[in-house]
Amino acid sequence: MLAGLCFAQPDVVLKENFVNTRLDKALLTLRKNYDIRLAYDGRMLRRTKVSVELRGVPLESGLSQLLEDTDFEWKLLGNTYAVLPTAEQAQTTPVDSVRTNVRWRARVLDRESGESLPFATVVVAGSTQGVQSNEEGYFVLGGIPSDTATIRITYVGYEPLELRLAQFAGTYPEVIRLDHNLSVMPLVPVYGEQTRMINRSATPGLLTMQAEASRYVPNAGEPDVIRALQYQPGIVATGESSGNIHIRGGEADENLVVYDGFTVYHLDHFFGIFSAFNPESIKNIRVHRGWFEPRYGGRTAGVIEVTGKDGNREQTSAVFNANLLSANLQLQTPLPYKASSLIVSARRSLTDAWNSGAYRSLFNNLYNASLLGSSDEPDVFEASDPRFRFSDFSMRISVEPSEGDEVNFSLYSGNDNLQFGYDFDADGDGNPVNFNDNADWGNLGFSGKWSHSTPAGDYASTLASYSRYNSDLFALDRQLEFGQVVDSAFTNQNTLLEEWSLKQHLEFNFDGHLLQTGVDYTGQANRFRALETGVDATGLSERAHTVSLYVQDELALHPLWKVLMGARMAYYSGTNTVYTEPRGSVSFRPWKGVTLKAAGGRYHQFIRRIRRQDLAFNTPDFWRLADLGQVPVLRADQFLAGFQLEWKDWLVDVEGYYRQLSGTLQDKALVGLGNADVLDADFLTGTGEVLGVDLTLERTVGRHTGWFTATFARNDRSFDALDQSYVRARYQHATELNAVYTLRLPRWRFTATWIYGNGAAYTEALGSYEVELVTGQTRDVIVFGDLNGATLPAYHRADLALHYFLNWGAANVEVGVSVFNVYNRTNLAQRGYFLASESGGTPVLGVRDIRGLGRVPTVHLRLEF
Amino acid sequence: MRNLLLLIALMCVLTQCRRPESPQDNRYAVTGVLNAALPEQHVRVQRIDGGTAPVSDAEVVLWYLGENHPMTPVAGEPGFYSIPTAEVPFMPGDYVGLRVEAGGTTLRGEANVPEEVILENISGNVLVVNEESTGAPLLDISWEPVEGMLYVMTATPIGPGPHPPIPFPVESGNFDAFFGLPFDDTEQTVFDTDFALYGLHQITIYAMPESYEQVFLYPGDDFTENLEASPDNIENGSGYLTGVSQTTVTVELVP
Repeated sequence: MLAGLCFAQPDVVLKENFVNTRLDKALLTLRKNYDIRLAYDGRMLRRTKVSVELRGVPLESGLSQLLEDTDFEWKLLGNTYAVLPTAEQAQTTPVDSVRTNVRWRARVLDRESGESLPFATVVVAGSTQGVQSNEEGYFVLGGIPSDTATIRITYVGYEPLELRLAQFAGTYPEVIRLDHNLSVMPLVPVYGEQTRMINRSATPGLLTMQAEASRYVPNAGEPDVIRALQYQPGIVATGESSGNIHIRGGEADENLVVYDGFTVYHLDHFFGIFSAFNPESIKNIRVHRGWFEPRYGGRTAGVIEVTGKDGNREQTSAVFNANLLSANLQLQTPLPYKASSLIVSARRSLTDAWNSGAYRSLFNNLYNASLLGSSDEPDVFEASDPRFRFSDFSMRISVEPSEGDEVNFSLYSGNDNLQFGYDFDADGDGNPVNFNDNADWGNLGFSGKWSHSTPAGDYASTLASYSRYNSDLFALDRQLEFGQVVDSAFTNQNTLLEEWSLKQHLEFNFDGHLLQTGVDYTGQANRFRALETGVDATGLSERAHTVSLYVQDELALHPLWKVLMGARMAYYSGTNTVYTEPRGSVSFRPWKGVTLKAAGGRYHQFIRRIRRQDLAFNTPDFWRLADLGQVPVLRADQFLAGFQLEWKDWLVDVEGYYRQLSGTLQDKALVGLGNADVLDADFLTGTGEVLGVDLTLERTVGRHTGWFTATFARNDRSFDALDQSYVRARYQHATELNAVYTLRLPRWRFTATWIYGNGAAYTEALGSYEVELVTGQTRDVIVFGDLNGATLPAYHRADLALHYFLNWGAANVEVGVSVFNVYNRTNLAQRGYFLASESGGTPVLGVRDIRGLGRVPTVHLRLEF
Repeated sequence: MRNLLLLIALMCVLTQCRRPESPQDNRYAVTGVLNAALPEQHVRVQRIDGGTAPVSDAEVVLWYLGENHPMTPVAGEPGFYSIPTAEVPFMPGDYVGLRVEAGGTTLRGEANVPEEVILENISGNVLVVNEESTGAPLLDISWEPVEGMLYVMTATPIGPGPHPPIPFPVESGNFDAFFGLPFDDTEQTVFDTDFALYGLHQITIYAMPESYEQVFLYPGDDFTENLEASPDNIENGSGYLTGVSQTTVTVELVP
């Protein structure tokens, strides 16, 4: 607050004459005429009338004069001037009645755009009583001890709001508008109290992040919501891939990623360097780490729930931004039909038209990471002209046909394309083989949702959705002689994974209960087809249906206790079995600022990603549906316990967790034990155990925010067919530390991050020997130690980002610089081996270290109209 | 609260503790191909951490017919051990055990000698090859299938010669490329371009267990993504021991 006052020197001058004017109308006049960010409750102010002449006085003096003889005062909250009852008045505000055991239903909206704010936190100060608003921003807070209790409403990236219902004279507000605190005000560039980028809920495992915050996190070329999440404990940050997010020891495919209700199967662009989600089109992201409620199902490690922006319902706005890799345009506008809006976002890479230094560096790193057979690291652009591009498009229409009803239609499409051709002259005779790969892959998804919220606080929604991941590869190899094609061979691979679902969800509020129930139907079809020269077409086609029923009750037993109990039952046609998943959580607030929490549950997963996309072998993601044969259903039983402590500016959050897995699956080829052909893949199956502790220490003081997180985890698998007591997960560091610091100045924002992991697992080569064949030939064989039995050197890197804000006409301008891996640390992502022969024929064991990204500086420009 | 903090501290410590790793005392490799049709059997012992350094002071013992049969180092071939099996032969279908004591480590292996390969048909022994026959089928050969077996064939020039090159206008001598990797079809056709030389040749058909295929498919000097799939059936060490059986036919290529 002090910081806000110090930097609040608006040069706005007020000239108005109010005569016996209602205070709410006077403030509205100021807001409209001077474009001042003002927050107040009109219902409370309308009883007060003011008469004052403002003769060219500065803003803050004018506000003081306006409120001089009233029971109100102004305060600068962040960059918003809030008009609140004076302390004396607040304590003695005459109310029509002091009510007890109050139940309050309202909706949380963005003040400027009118967009609903889903998953805002509404709590009764000093108790565990609290709820989150639903997808449409509605909440019902029951059992409020008295309407004189303080209610605190928070939403990441917005100014927190505190109020007492008694102020509203018995008619409680139905709409709460919060003020955004990240954007730049055109005329009043003031910055105040920092708010948290991440809401660390007292709900076990739950994090909520405002997508806009990801713009200010250092990146490797593109703002990335998934990379921003990776600074949180329990989420592996050392992998440098946005396409493979590992939550609490889980494989990447063990996370359910949902965008406006439809599942997204392929999370990234550019082979994992960037997330496929455009941060401009996303409102917020909720991450359930490990434990999640019965209403979610189908995965075992986590849920990433991405909610798209509704679009501005008040005025038309546009955003354009560009960086060294891509350009992005977004339009938001109200629609003429009732309270409705449209938002359209389109992003496209520039990489196929402009080989910027950042792009060349990233592509070379990817390409060289895919070469295992030698220690050379060629510049791929010197020998060929790889043409790569990515794009995504999203659109959302939101309509409120009547009070309490909302209809949304959301569409997302993302696509990558790589055309890579080069000549290779193995014997140096001037007659090379010309290799040409053309790969195209991406996601398409859309959903339609109707929701209805009743005045009593009950809620129903119906969602229909479709999602598709497809990948098409065409590779043509041609033997050239004297420039003429004398022979050719082709490979054509097509992957298509489709999912369609219909979900009905109901919520009932009564007597301190929030009862939720619903039924989900999901159908999945998975097809793979391969065709190559001289070989009959091969393929895979599988289809399965899942019908799930869930019930959960969130009960406020007592102001200090909150309990959630429920279960999910799922029938899966692939195994013709019903799976039961009991789940529950409890939180208890023994002392002020301290919340103890515990949770447990069972989870099943029916679809598995066997292999992920690979640049070197030009292979797509390969998924399989669980069956009664080769691919088992994955089951996870997980338990967590911890506490959250809020003390002054500090927040401490600690969660310990244990996950026991059965039906774990490992493609033998990925650990060098099996066939490289996906259709003939062999699997190792077994069990697993994850034991971990996630720790967060966060402090927010004025313009400074910082947090430090630590993850200590043991993540082991055990496979029936391996003579090895346990196999460490390759992506898991036993210790991973993250530190994030942000500083906000009036026109600047600075972010620094540091990541440390104490070393990933790899399989070490112990030596080699020669074996004779019966035909008289010999083979040199590398002998490997235990699978993932050795540890790579520690991983660490620091990233920086600096943003500058200015006004240019009617536009808010943001210029940013980001440097990934500032001190250019050479991190090892993996270590491979190869055999080479010396001149005498003696085999020599070569080591190939696959490096992570080096230093990547990038810049970006953002214009908001 | 203090107890809670202690519990969390204990969990942090537990996550950093490892169960004991399985020992990686893997320093030796033993390889051998036991062939009942040969009068002598060989086994090779190497150190894996010394660039295939031979181990010549090992104690190597074969067990078959219910008895141990010590093997002796082969003079002039460090790391190789042999045993004559002409007098005490093992037969197709026999089980053979191997024990190697080297540097205080005991390595063990075992193999079953496959059933004999019984020739069913061969289309001829004198094969006429000339420029006009380029690319034509030359020889049909078949044998009785044995369940669980794979086969390879080799063609080796034998006799005093001469073995003049066959003047094909296209690349020839493809026998190893077509028949040198394990296959399961017991009816094969040999084309004229599979040979490169005229004269007497011995065609050998080997039968081997399916698992031995992985040794053939191992990339050797060539790079492949599948480097970790090292063939191994030796206990307490590395390497591969297998039994094979064989039959041979002689053909003569004439102009």
